[in-house]
Amino acid sequence: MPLLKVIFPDKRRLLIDEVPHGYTNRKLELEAGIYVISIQGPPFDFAPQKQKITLKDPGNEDPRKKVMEVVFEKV
Amino acid sequence: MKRSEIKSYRSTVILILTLLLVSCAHMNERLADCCAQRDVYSLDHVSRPAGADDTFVVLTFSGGGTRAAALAYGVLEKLRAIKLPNTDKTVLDEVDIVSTVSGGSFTGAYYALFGEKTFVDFKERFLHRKIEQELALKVANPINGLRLLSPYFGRSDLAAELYDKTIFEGQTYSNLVRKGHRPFLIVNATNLLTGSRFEFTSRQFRYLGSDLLSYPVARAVAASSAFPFLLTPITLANYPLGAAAGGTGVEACQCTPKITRQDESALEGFEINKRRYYAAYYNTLYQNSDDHPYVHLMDGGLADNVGLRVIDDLFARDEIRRKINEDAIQRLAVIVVNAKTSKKEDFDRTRTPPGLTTIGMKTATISMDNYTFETIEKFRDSIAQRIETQWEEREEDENGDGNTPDSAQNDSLAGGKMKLYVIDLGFENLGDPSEREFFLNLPTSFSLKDEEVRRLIEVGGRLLIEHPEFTHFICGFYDDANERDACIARGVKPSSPGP
Repeated sequence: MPLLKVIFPDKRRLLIDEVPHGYTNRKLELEAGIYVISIQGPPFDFAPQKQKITLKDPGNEDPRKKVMEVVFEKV
Repeated sequence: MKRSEIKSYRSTVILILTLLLVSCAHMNERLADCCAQRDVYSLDHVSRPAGADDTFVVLTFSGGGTRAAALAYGVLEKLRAIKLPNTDKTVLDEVDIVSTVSGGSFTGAYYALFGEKTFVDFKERFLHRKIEQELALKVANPINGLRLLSPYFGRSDLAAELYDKTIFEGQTYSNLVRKGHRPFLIVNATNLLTGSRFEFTSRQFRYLGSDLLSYPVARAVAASSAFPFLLTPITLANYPLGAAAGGTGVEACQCTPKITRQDESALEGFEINKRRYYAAYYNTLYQNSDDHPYVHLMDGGLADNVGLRVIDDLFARDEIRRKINEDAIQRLAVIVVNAKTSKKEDFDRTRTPPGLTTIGMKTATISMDNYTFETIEKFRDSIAQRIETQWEEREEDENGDGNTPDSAQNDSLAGGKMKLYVIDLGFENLGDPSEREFFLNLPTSFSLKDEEVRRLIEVGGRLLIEHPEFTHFICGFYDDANERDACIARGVKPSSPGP
């Protein structure tokens, strides 16, 4: 399964498809698929408010990319 | 015709019509308050005692009539007798989920409802009974014969009444919620329309706009064990979400719709992940209650005869995955109790092909057996892949590539230190060929001889303690490597002799 890492300056709980799931700055193993990622608030001090991502199983690309990184800025 | 004869005919007709009218099976109730977040039956709501996730134990009980129920009971009994090193708990105390199919549902549901009482009376209440004969007597009763003429009342409804009265004491899912502690019970049936598995949980019932809590556990077990042809489907109604009891169904739920954000994401990703897509598709099919007003359920074995698919889903995307990604689980052990048999046959010794009965039985069971095998192997592969990922990530961390802001944990993969165990128990694990043959040739029935039941209970416990992966799981509780090795060398011993 692919890995997702949501990068944010603080340790915060994530919302994956609107469900609390894991924390920022950790690699989370998730099955491949489309997800809507956000950070649980308050405070809502992050941008963008949410991101829709497509997490894919590692393919034939060279170099092998197993971790997808998604960045949220602190505002 | 004399007046007295007319009177007599009229009385008979009225009696028959009355019986037909009252011969409606119990129907699931509409969810009165779709906004209620409490009082639901889900893993997250059955979370006591606190910290129970550290050691996360899952049991899956396969189908196979009384054979499966007795084997599962033998495993439960042994889990109760084995203490976890360096704790004051038994393995049974740590069981978080029991996922059950068909015959295994009797044992799993009884234990989830009655706990310790299981070891006092379950053998007499179920294992040693001749349920098949009791059911046949009920069918032969003329009053029930008339009730069975109703299109809304089948043999499984009659079976559910028998189970409810004589085994499950009229308990509903609200009794499980009131208990409030684990194990979380997942009774599995098969949706006859889609061929997909159907689980008796609040989450699944929400897609039907229905209230699980008022539903009798006996009916869930009856659906799970409704073997095709011998028994009939158990039917559930699909309601619009948000319609209160007595409401028209026009008003929509103001809180959340049946379809969740997770479903929407899954449905968008058909090309990326078809398993995730279909899991959502089969549930969201019931979004519109006008198109699919009813669900007809049969034996859970048709979709998955070991109860492992639901655990695979929880591991891939639902509660277990979330707990892993939040570092809540230190050890995950999945114990698969599989009562699969393999009858000795010799029809390949003659040139004449086998008869219709043999072909019929083979047709009904070959796919199920192959699918069961693949289900277990697929799950083992998932676990092996996870272990490999953990090793890769640990190596990467040690090489200094894991420079995350959270590097204090020196483990950037969430749940990266988790230990995983798959303990698959089945008769094929037995070393003694004659013993193996005895168990592999037991019938699938709800009436076994007392001696067969006794041997099944004994072998269930023995298969467990002799499984090398179970030994590693138990011995893994020792922090000291020498103690751990010594434990592995001597094997697992029950701390109490058991009954």
